[in-house]
Parts: sequence; C-alpha cells; structure tokens
Amino acid sequence: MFKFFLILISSSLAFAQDCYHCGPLAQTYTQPQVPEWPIEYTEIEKINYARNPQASFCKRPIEMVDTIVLHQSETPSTDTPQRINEFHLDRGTAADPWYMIAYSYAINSPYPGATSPRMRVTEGRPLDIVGAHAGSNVFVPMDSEQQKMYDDGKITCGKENGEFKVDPTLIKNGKIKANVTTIGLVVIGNYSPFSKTNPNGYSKKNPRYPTKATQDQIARMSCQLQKKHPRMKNIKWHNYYHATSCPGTIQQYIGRIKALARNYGCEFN
Amino acid sequence: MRVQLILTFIFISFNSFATDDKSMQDLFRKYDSVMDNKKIELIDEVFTQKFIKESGGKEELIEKIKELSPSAEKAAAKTKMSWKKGLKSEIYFATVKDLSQNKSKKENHESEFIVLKEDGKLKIDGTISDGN
Repeated sequence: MFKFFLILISSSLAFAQDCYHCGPLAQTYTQPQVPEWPIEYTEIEKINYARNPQASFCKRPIEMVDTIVLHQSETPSTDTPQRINEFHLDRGTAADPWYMIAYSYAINSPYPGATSPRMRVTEGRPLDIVGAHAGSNVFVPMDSEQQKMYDDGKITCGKENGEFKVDPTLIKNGKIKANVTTIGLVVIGNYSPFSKTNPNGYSKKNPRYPTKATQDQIARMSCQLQKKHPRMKNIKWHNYYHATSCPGTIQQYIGRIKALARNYGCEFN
Repeated sequence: MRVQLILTFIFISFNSFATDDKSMQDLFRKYDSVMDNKKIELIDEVFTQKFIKESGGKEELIEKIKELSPSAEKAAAKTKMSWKKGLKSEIYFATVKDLSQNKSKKENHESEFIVLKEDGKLKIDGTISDGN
C-alpha cells in the first residue's frame, strides 16, 4: 500500500515538471522561481535592452491599457527581441527617434514542422511606457476611467532624466492614440504569403500558420496579463487599426486564441 | 573658417546621400526585374546571402519568385520606394508603397525593407513589420 502511494506521489511530481501550466499542483511548483510575476501560465524572460536617451516617450498607468494587439515581426522566426530592438533604435528620424523595442512582449516560436527557435516569451518595452506598434496616427475612443486618467494628467511624455509633461497631441476629437490604451504582443516570424512587398513570406504551396503551441502561448500570455491587469479585456490585431498585412495568418486564429484563453479562465472581446 | 567647414560637411553629406540614393534606386530596379520579370540571375546582387539562406536557399527562393502569378506580378509592379538611413547603424530602411488599385484596403500597404551593405554593395536583407 505504501509503495502504491509512493508511485502515485512521484508520478504526480513528474507530471508537474513536464506540464507546469496544466494543474494547480504544477502552478504551486513553478511559482517561486520568479516571485515578482505570477507564473500561472507562462514564464517570461527579461532582457536589459539598449535604449535611446535622446528619444521622447510617454508614461502611463498600466490601468490605461485595455487591449492586447497581436503582431508579426515579418522577420525570420529565428530573429531575437534584441535584434528587433536594434532595428527599432535605428527607426524614426534624428529629431524623433524611437526609444526602444516597440512591443511589450515578443514570442519566439517555431514554424510548423520546425524545431527551432525555442518557444519563449520575452519582455519588451515596459507596460507603463506607451508602445509604438498600432500606428501613431490611429486614435480610439476612451472609456470614462481612461478619460479621467488622461484628465488627471497621468499620461506624460518626455525624455530620460528630463521633465515629463502632458502631451495634448495624444488626443484628437475626444479620442486618444491607440498606442496609449494598447500593448503590442509580437510573434517573431512572417505569416504572410510571399509577394513583391513581402519577400520573407511563405510559399503559396506551403502556407504558414501559427502552430497550436504558438496559439496556446499567445492565449496563455494574454490570460496571464488579464489575470494581473483585469482591464485588459480585448485582443485585437495590427490591421484592425490600419491597413497592413500584419499579423498575417495569425489573424485567422484570433477566435481560437480567445477560446483557448477561456479555458484558462479568461474572457476576451 | 567655420562657415567653410559647415559648407564642406553639407557638401559631403549631400554627396554621400546622392551616392546612396543612386545605389538604392539601382537596387530596387534590379529587385523589380527579379520579381516582375523573373531575372533570377540577379538574385545574388539583390539579396544578402543571409536572406537567401533564411529563405530556404537559392532554389527555394527562385521557386517562390516563379510562383508569383502574372496578375499578382502586374499589380505588384505598381510600387513606389523611398528610403531612410538608420540612426545608429549602417542599415537602411526602404519603404515600398504598393500603389495597386485593385487590391483590398488590407493588402494596400507599405512594406519596410531592411537593406544592408554586403561586400560594399547595398542588398535586401528582408522586411520588418511597419509600426510606430
């Protein structure tokens, strides 16, 4: 009898190690590893990114964010968030350069049938810094709480070590820049067909879709964000905001990603 | 003396821009030839070796170029290119605007090409999602 219990306990622990996001036992097992983040669904790697101290950026309360916007990087899937950061540090103009990587999170995942890169989520631009991903000329309506935060001067812009002030250009006709109320979640890779304007794309004979594991990773990451920041109730995609091929075939799986997130106890519009 | 220095700097900058601009226009003319007219012999002059490798090798890239249907090719030919040098590195971002009239709003967009110098020549190293 004692032997039976011993086998039962050891097999439960083995299950927990293989599948830490599957059950309450596993959650307890992984949680202490990164105490500042509740590792209920996925682990997030952190990088000390280079930033451009000459660049202006805006700060916001995280409560301002209600939407996760899905992107594809359009680069090869093997690219790293550091490389995306380097590209973004080169973007903009001398008068208005970019501060750092435009997205808040980056997901590396292999294409269907591939084994690399290793599936992982990396933190990008901190959540309390307004991103640069949805389109700087896109404005969206605010709810009363967001309006109050703006009216209270909670969203301020400036440079590192400089003074931060309210920027009236963030508002137009009562709407606010979409970047202020959203965060960017980028899947590193190119999920659009090969064309003259997309030479990194997939062959039409072999269409490329996000794998189930990639969909699941997006769902778990989104759910984890919602658990910590309950105001994040929407999942949108880049070309919801303006004409672009981003995020390619990932867009076809938004409904499924939301359904997966529901399985983890999250509800997204 | 200071004015002379400033004028020299402006002259050098303008000259460098003009050289880069000519090289960039040449590169995208060749790119048009590869994509529109299937001049696949120009592939090595147009793309970096890294890009070719990441595309699955030269043969796979040629296969993809040949797959472009005549109608898509005709529509895609209507593009407009502008470019900007990176702020920190020896990198160029070329914006290719698709001017095709028969495309849906979703497809009618700008693409950002990454252009690098390989063996002293400008070559396309891939694309990156438009953001901002």
